[in-house]
Amino acid sequence: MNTNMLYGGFLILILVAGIGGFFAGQYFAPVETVPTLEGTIPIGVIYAEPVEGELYAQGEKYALDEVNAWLEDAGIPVQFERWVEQAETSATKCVERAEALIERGVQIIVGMEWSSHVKATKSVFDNQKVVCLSSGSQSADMAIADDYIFRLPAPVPLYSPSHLAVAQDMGIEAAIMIYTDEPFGASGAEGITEAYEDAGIVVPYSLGVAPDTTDFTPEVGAIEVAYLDAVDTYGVGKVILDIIAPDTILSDMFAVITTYPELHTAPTFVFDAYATALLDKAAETAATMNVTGFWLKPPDDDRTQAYYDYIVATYGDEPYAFSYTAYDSIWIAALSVLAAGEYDGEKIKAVLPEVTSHYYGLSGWTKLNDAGDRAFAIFGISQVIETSPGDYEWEDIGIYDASTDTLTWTPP
Amino acid sequence: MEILETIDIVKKFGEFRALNGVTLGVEKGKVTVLIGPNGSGKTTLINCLTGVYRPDEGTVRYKGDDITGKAPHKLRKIGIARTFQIPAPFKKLTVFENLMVSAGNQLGEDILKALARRIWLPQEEELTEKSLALLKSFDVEGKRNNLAYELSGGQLKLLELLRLLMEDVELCVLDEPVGSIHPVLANKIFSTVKAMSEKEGITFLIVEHRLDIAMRYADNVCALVEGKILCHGSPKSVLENEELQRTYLSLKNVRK
Amino acid sequence: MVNIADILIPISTFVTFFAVYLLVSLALNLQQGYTGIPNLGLFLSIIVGAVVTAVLPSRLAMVIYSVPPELNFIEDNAQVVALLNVHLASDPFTSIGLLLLTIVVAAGAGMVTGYLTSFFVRRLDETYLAVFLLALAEAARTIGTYYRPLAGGNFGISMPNFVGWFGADYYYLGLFILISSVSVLIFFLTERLCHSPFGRLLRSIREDELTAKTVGKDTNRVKMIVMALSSGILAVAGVLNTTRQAAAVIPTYDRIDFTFWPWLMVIVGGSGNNLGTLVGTISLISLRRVLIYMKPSLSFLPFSPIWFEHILLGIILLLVMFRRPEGLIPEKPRKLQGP
Repeated sequence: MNTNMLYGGFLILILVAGIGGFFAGQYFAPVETVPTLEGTIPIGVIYAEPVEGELYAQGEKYALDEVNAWLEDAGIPVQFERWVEQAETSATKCVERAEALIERGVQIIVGMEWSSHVKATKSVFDNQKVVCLSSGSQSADMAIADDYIFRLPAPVPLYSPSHLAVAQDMGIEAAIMIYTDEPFGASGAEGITEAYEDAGIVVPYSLGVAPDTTDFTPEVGAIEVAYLDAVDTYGVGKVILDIIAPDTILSDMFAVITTYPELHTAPTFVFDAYATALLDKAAETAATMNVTGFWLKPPDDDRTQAYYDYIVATYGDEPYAFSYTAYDSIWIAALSVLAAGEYDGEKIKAVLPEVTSHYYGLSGWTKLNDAGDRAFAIFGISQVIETSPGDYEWEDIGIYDASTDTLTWTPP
Repeated sequence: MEILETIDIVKKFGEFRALNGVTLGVEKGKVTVLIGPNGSGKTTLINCLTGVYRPDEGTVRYKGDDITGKAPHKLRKIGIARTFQIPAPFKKLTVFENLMVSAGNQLGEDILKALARRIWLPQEEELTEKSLALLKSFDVEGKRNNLAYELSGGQLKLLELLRLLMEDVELCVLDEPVGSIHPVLANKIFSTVKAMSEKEGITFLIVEHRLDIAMRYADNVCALVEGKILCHGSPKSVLENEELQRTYLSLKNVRK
Repeated sequence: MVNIADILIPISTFVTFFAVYLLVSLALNLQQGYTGIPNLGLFLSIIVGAVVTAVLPSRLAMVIYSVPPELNFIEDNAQVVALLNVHLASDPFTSIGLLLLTIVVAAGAGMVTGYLTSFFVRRLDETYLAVFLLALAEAARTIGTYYRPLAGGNFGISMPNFVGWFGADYYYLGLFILISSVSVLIFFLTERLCHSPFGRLLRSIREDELTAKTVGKDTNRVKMIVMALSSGILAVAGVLNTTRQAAAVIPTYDRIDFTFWPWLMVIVGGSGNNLGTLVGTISLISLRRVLIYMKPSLSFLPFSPIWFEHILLGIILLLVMFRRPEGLIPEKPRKLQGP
C-alpha cells in the first residue's frame, strides 16, 4: 500500500510538474515580451546538428561578446544572451524546440542551418510572427517573399555565375557535370548547367550519383569515357569536370580518380572550397587536377584577421566556413532588435531587411533580396596547391564579386 | 467406430525418426490412453495430430476426412482440442478471461462488431455464466480473478482442461493432464473426463505417465515405443505385453 | 489586456504535439502492448501518411482552383502554396473536404502497408521481425529523402494551409480543433476495441500464440488486422504532423523521434493499457517542455544544460525499469465483479 502511494505520488508529481510547469513556465518565463528595451534580451539559437552547431557557436559567441561590450560602453541598458537548443538532426524536434523557445518569449531565432528544418518550422515562424535568421540554409526553393524567414548564406543559385566566370576566364568549352542526386546537388547542377549553356559552354554529359555511394569505380569509369570523348572534340584543357557534392562524397570519388591517370588532365571545379577530407584522401591528385573551389569569402581586413586569430588561438582550428555568417547573424539580430525599439517579432521583421542592407559583416555585404535571402556574394576562389613537398593546402587564388560580375586573380 | 485414424505417420527431426510409421485408430466416445517411455514420440505424435507439426509422411484422418497438417485453429473449429504437457495458459489474463477467450465463434472478436457493445454483450453474458458454472463445478470459483501465473501446477492443468470445455468439442487430446499433481485432484480430473466421455460422447486421447490413475479410467491403451506402436487394446491386455513390461512398465511399478 | 492568442498558441502547440504522439504510441501499444508484435519501424506507416499528404490534397486543390498547369507543385512549391493559400482561406468547405479525404486515403494507404507487412509478421520470429520492420522503414525513409518527386526529398516541401479559413488570429485554434478531435476520436475507438472480446483476444495472442491457435483462434488473421489497423492510425498521425508543421519533410520521420520515443512513452506509461500509454505520452512530452523552459536556470551544471534532458530521461527510464518495470500505470487484471 505504502509503495503504491509512493508511486501514485510520483505519478501525480510528474503530471503536476508537466501540466503545471507548462503553465507556470508561461507565467514565470524569465523574459516576457518587454514593451521597452532594457535588461537581458534572449536570442534563440537552434542547431540542426550538435557537432556542426559547436562550430557555428564559435562565431556567435565572439559576436555576442562584441555586441554586449559595445552596448555597455555606450551606456545602453540592454544585454543580449543566447538561448541554445539542439534539434538533433530532426525537423520535428526543431519545431518542438522553436515552439518552446517562443513560449519562453523569444522573438528571433538564429542558427537554423538546415533547409529542411527551416521548411518544417516556417509555419511556426509565420503564424507566431517570430523572425528566423538562418546562417546555413541555402536551398533555392525557400526563396519566399514577405515571410519571417531570412537567410544569410549564399543561396545555391548565386554560385552559378561564379563557376561560369572562372570557366570563361580559363577558356573552357565543355563541362561534365557530376552531382549527388538529391535536391541540393541536383538544383545546384541544374543552375550551373543552365548558366554554362546560356554562355555557350557545352555540357555533353551529366551524372547524378546516389548520395550514399562509397565506391565510385563505375561512376569514375563512365566519367573517364565521357571526358575522353569531349577531349577528342575540344582538346585537353578545354574540358572541365564540375562536381556538386559534399566533402565526404568528393573525397571518396577522388580516391578512385587517383587510379585513373587519363582523368588527371581535367581541371575540376568543386562546390565548396576548404574540403578537408579531400586533402586527407587525395591531395596529390587534387593538386595535379587544379581542383578549384568556391566559398563565401570574408573581407580581407583587420576585423576578419582578428576573428581568425582569436578562433585559432581559442579553439586550435581555423574558423568554420559558415561561422562567418553565424557571427553576422548575432550582430544583425541585435541591431534589428535595437532598431525595432521593442522586442517583438513583427517589428523586427519590418526593420531587418534595412539593417542588413547597411551592414557589412564578416561574410561581406549582407543585403538581402526580395525573398529575404542574400542578394550578393563575394566568392573566394581557392585551389589545392602543394605548399611544400608532400604538403597540400587550399590556397586563395582569386575573388569573384557577384554584385559587379568581376573576377580578380590574386597575383601569385 | 474410429473418429481419428493415423496411417503410417513419419516425423523426422534431421536424421532422427521420432515417429517411424505410426498407424493408430482412436475409438469414438472412448478414453484412449497413450503410454510409452520418455522419448518414444508420444508428444510428437499428438503434435502431428493437432496440427502443431506437419508429418513428413502419412495421413491423419478425422471422421474420414484428411486433416494432415491443418492449422490448429482450423482443427479446433471442427472439434479437435488439445492441452499441453507444460501448461500453456495466457499468463497475464485472469482465470476467468482464460476461459472466456477460449470460447469459439465470439461476435466480439470481429473487429467491426467489437465496436458495438450491444452486438456482443448477450453472447458475452452467456459465456460468463457458462464459465462461472464450470469453475463452480470444480470448486475453483474463488480463483476466477487470479492471473493464470498465480495458479499452482495442478490448478493450471485443470484450467487447461476447463478451457477445452468452453467450446463444443468432439475429440480432446490431453498431454499429461495429471502429471505431478496431487492425487485427489488427479482423480477428480480423470473422473470428469470419464463422465464426459460417457455422458456426452466426447472422445479423449490422453498421454499419461501416471498409469496407476490413468488405467482406472482408460477404455483403450496404446503403447508407443521408439516411434512405433508396440501394442494396442484393453488396459489389461496391454499391461500384460511382455516387451512392454521389459522396456517400460518395470520402471513404473504398476499394480495390475 | 490578455491577448487570446497568447494563451491559445502555447496550449495549441502543446496539445497538438501531444495528440500526434498519442496516436503513434497508441498504435505501438496495439501492436506491442496488446498483441506482442515488436515493431521498431513505426515510422514506415507515418511516412506513408506524410507522403499521401504531400501528394494528394495540394494536387487536387491545384485542379480545383485551376492553378496554371505549367506550375509544378514540387519545383514551384512556394509559388503554388501562396496561390492555394489565397483560395483555401476563403473556402472552408473545400479545405475541410480535402483534409478529410486526405485522412481517409492516408488511413487506407497505411492499412494496405500494414496488411503487406503483416505477411512478414507471420513468418518471422520476434527479434528478426523487429529488425526487419526497422530496415523496411529505413528504406522508405531513404527513398523519401532522396527521391524528390515524392515529397521534395531532403528539403521537404511546404504544404498549403488547410485551416487558413479560421483567419490568421485563429490559425492555432483551427489546428487545435482539427488535430485533437481526430486524436480523441481514435483514442476512444481504440479504447473501446481494447475493452471488447477483441482486446481479450489480442492479449491472449501476446501471452501465448500457440495456445491461442489451439483454442481455435486464427492468430495470423488477427495479427494482420492489428497491423492494418495500427498502421492506419500511424498514417493518420503522419497526416496530422504534416498538417501541423505545414510542411512534409520525410527525413524527420526517423527512428529516434518516431519509434524510440514512442517506445519509451509506452514503457514508462505501462504497456497493454491505453490509459498508461496516454499517461506515458503526456508525462514525457511535458517533461521535455518543462526542461526546455528550465534550461536558463540550469547553467550551474558542469555540462551544457542542453544534454540534461537526455540524462534525466535516462534516469527516469532506469528508475521505471528498476522500481516499476510494468510502467506507471500497469496493466490491471480485468476482474469480474459479483459474488
